[in-house]
Amino acid sequence: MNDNELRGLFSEMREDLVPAESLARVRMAVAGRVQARRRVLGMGWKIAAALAVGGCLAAVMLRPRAVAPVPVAPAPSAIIAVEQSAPVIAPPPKPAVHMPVRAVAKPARHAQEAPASHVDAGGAHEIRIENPYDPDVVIVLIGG
Amino acid sequence: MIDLACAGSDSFEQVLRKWQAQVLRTAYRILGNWADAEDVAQEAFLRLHRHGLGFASDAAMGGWLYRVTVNLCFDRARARRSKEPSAELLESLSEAAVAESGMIREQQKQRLMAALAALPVKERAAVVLREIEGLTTAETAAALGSTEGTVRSQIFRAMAKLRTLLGQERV
Repeated sequence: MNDNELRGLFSEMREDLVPAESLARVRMAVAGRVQARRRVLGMGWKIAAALAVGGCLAAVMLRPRAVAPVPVAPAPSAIIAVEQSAPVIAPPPKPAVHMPVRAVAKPARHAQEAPASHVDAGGAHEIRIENPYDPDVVIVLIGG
Repeated sequence: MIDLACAGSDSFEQVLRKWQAQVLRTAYRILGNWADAEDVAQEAFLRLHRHGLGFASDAAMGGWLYRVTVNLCFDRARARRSKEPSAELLESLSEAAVAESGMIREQQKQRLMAALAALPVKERAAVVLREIEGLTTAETAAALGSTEGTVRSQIFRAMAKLRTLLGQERV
C-alpha cells in the first residue's frame, strides 16, 4: 500500500458513519449533565437569594434603635421676660445729662412720620416717639 | 476547514447536533474504541457548555472543540498507557477483518485502523486530524498545541510506520 492508497483510504474514512446509538448516547448524556448543572446553578442562586434576604432581615433586626428625643424645657419667651422685667427696666429719673442731638437729628425712618411728644417728667426731658405702623413700639428718649 | 454554518446564533443543542459526529469520530480514531470516545465527546461538549458559545466564527469553535477533544484523548491515552495496542493486536485485528469481511476495501480500512492504533498517540492524532478529518497543517498544529513543522514531521514518521505495518514499502 503506497501513500496515495493510504490517503485514498483516509479520505474514505472521513465519510464513515458514526454509530447512531453512540450519537444518541452522547446527546442524552450531555443533555442530562447540562440539566443537572443548570439545577445546581439554580439551587445556588436560590440559596444565595435566601441568604441575602436573611442577611437583610438580620441587619434590620440588629440595627441600633433610634434614641428617644430628650424633652427640652421650654425657654422663657422673650415677651414674658420683657413683661417680667418691664418694671425693673423702667429707669429712674436721672439728673440732667447732656444728650447728643443725634437721635433727634436722625430719627428712624419708620418713625419719621410720627409726631414726637415732649413730656417733662420730673425735671428730665423725655421724648416719646411712636410708630404709626406699630403701636406697640414706642421710643422713649430721656434727657436733661 | 469543515463547511458549517456560522455558530453565532446557534443554541447549544444545535451546536451539539452539528459537531457531535466529528468530535465522536475524531475521538474514536485516536482512542480506538467507542466507549472511550463517547466519554471524551461528552466531556468536550460539557466544557463547551461551560465555556459558552461566544466564538468569533464557526472555524474558531471547531478549532476549540478539536483542541479540547485531542487533549482529552491524550489524557485518557496517558491514563491507560499500559493498554496501548500492540503489534499483536494489529495482526489479530487484520486477520479477523480479512476473515470476516469479503470486501477488500473494508479489509483495507480495518487494517489501516489497526495500524493507526499501533502508532504513538501524538502521531496518531496528527494523522487523524490532517489526513482523515481534513484539517490544514496549521489547524492541526493549533489543535495539537505544536508547530506546523512538528506536525509535518509527525505525519512523515507516522506514514512511514503505517507503510511498514501494512507490509508495503513506498512505491
